[in-house]
Amino acid sequence: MIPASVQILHWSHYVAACLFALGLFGFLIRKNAIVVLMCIELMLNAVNLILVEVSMRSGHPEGLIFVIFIITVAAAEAAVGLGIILNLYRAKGTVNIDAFRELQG
Amino acid sequence: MREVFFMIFSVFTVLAALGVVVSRHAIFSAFSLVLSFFGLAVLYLLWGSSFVAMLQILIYTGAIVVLFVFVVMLLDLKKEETLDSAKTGPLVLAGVSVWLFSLLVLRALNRATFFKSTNIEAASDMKSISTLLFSKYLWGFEILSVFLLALIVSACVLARAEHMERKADQ
Amino acid sequence: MEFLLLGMILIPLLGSALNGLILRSGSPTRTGTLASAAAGLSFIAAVALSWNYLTTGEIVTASFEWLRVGSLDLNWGFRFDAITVLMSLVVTGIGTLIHIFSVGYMDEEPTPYRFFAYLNLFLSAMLILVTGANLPVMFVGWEGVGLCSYLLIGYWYEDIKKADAGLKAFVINRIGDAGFLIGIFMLFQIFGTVDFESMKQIVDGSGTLNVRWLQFAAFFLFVGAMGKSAQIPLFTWLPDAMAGPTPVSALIHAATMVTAGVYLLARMGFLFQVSPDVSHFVATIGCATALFAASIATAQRDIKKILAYSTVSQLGFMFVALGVGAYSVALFHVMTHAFFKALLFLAAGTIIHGLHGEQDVCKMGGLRKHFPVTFITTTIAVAAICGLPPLSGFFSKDAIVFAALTGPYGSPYLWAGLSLASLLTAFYMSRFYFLVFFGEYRGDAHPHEGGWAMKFPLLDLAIGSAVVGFLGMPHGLHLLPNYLDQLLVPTVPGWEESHAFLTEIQSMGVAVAVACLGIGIAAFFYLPSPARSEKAAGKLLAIDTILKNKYWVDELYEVLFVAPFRFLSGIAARFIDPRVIDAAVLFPSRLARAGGTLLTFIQSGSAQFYLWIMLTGGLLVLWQALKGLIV
Repeated sequence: MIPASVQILHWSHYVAACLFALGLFGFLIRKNAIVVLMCIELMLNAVNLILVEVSMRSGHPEGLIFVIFIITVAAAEAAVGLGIILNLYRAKGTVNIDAFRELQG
Repeated sequence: MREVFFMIFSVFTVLAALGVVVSRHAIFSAFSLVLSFFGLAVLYLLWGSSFVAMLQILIYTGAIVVLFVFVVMLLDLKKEETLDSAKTGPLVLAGVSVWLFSLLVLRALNRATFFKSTNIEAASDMKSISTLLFSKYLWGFEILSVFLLALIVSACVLARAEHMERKADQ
Repeated sequence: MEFLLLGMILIPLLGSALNGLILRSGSPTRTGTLASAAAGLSFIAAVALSWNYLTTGEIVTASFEWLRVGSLDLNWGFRFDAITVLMSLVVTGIGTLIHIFSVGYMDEEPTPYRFFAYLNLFLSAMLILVTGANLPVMFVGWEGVGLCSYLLIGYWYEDIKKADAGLKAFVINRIGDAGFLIGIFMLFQIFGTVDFESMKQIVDGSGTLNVRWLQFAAFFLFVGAMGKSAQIPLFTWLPDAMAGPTPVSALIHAATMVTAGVYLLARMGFLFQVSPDVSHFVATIGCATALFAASIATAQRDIKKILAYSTVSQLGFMFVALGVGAYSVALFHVMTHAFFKALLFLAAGTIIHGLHGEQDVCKMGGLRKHFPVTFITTTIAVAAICGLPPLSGFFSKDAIVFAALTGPYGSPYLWAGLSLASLLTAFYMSRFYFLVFFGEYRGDAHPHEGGWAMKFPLLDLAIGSAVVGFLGMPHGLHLLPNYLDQLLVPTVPGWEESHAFLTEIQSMGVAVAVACLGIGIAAFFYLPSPARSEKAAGKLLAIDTILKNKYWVDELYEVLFVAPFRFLSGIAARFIDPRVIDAAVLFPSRLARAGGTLLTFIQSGSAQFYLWIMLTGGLLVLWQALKGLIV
């Protein structure tokens, strides 16, 4: 199932790829807005994983700094996103994203 | 020994991520998320970047997921709102396209020569991070704090909007 | 001197603009006086220029740059030479008289400024026509008079029939104009210039011209003349043009515009001299037209229609003269015809005005008591047109008939045809004369003569009809020198008389005899009362019906040309325009709109859907980027 060309990668890359894939899949499939946000966090963490691994392996700490930034921004973004979701709930009474299609057409 | 731990915790993380995606109720997704973050933190520790692991626990599990749990509790979601009836068609399609995408991503990663070096333990992360953070990336650091301020303000405004609405109703 | 030339042309234009655009007064006297003054000034300028030419022989010219494209070097050129002397004096002189007449005739018109503006405009355009130094300038005048003719015929446009008559005149004219333009283009191809002087020099000088092409060009020019001067087959507009006010008929359709065709052929005489086939054709058409129209005129009841067909017939005479090569004789007849035909029309106008609109001769009669001045002047005019000596018509008509026999392209058949036409002319004119002025009055209006504004031109024209003939006395009589010939010699080709079976004096005798015969027959049938004619008409019912219905030419044209054209236009308007052209034009827009509507599904408003699209796109991009590397 795994093609030959990707076999020389480190195992953590596979983990990150799995995490990212799962996050993407969840984003596309789930209808609950909050869960969708969680999937976004998952994708971000996948990226973090790769960054930390490469940074530690190669000895360049820039990766870690980038990770710090990502974590910070992700946190803030999650907060604001949840605030929006709360407002949406107050407007429509549900968090099902199919209910928010005002921009259709 | 280390290898075993690596293996165990990476599997653990992936399984927890799976839990996030397939859970019926949003609260279970939140709990699975905590578990996956925890697994990641352990992985970071195993690689030697204790600072990042600590940040991960503090911020991600300690703040973000807490926020998520707050909101899930606040919204008092009923059963209909948690049950997502995804049809098989989109499901399969999503799965296939995501898998293909991942393959391509891996391929792309493979072409990057950056990943080819093999030494694991470099310097301790704390010292190197702080040196860089306050010299080379000082600008980013400061701007990030301003950015955070902006986000705080926006979160307050969003909360206030609710408040205003409530006041208008009365 | 150039100022006089330009002034002569532009003063009527100025008068037209003043009357039509600025003053717009509702009083016929005021507008008419202004217009007549403009015409009168133009006449004075023409007299001055003519005097200058006669005494000094100087040809006054004026020229302004118009177009310079490639090998074409075109100017707004005007020249005042011998032919122009004749034409401009006739146009401005008779034009002024008719302006004065109109002041009296149009006294009940609510918006007279329109009429006088058009009339002045016509005068200006006609002057451009006769003073043009090259074909395009002449064509400008040509089109201008066609326009004014349309405007004036359909002057009372609220009556749809009258408006249609104007349209008919314009459309038939247009057909002729198409031929005219083709002729101009061909001449430019042949000569490289369309200036009259230059072309004349080329033709007179070298002998190595392609005669066939010249003949074609000449033919097309004649097509233009056919339209403007109402020859077969483009003559049907002239009788219908009588729907316009009578002064219009007098000025445009008797004296000036219809003679533009004759003027064209005379100007281009050097071309027709070297085109024998075309000249024969011109003469034949002229003769046929003369006979045809004269025959129709004998059965008409409308006073103006009689005169209209008479004009067509007399124009035929002029074209015969041109066709046989006697150009100066044709111009002579233009001059005399202008006088007596304008007089006849103005007389008819007086009568119609006096009878408050009655135009049927069968409802007239015995009017010599009620219209004394008109009666006397009309007598002179009728005698002139019948060809009784010593009036002008006799000299010019006889000259044509004789030239038909002895001219360079003449033949006895032409002579016989014209003589027959002269017989018919004498007959129908006398019929008109007797029916209108003699016998008992058969109508029920209260006839009265017009004011001095209407009488004065009549008298002037009568004197002219009587006297003008002496300007062009034929050589054969050895009485007076032929002033007209002397005038026109440098500009218009002369001709040698060939010997025929009659001398000039004998021909004159025959002509007079024919005229008296015609008058006599008319007197027999119409003088005591029209009863005898009605009995005869009853016996000749078939011929009478054919003539009364003008050989059904209009109906024939309707079937042959108008109806199919209308049918095609209908198809174009109802089918081709909306279904084919609009569909083709709207097709891209409709396609774009449909495509747009089709693509709106992409904006679903759902973030997940958008990520879907992004995923797909990203897949494609990555796949392309890493092509060939995935096993």
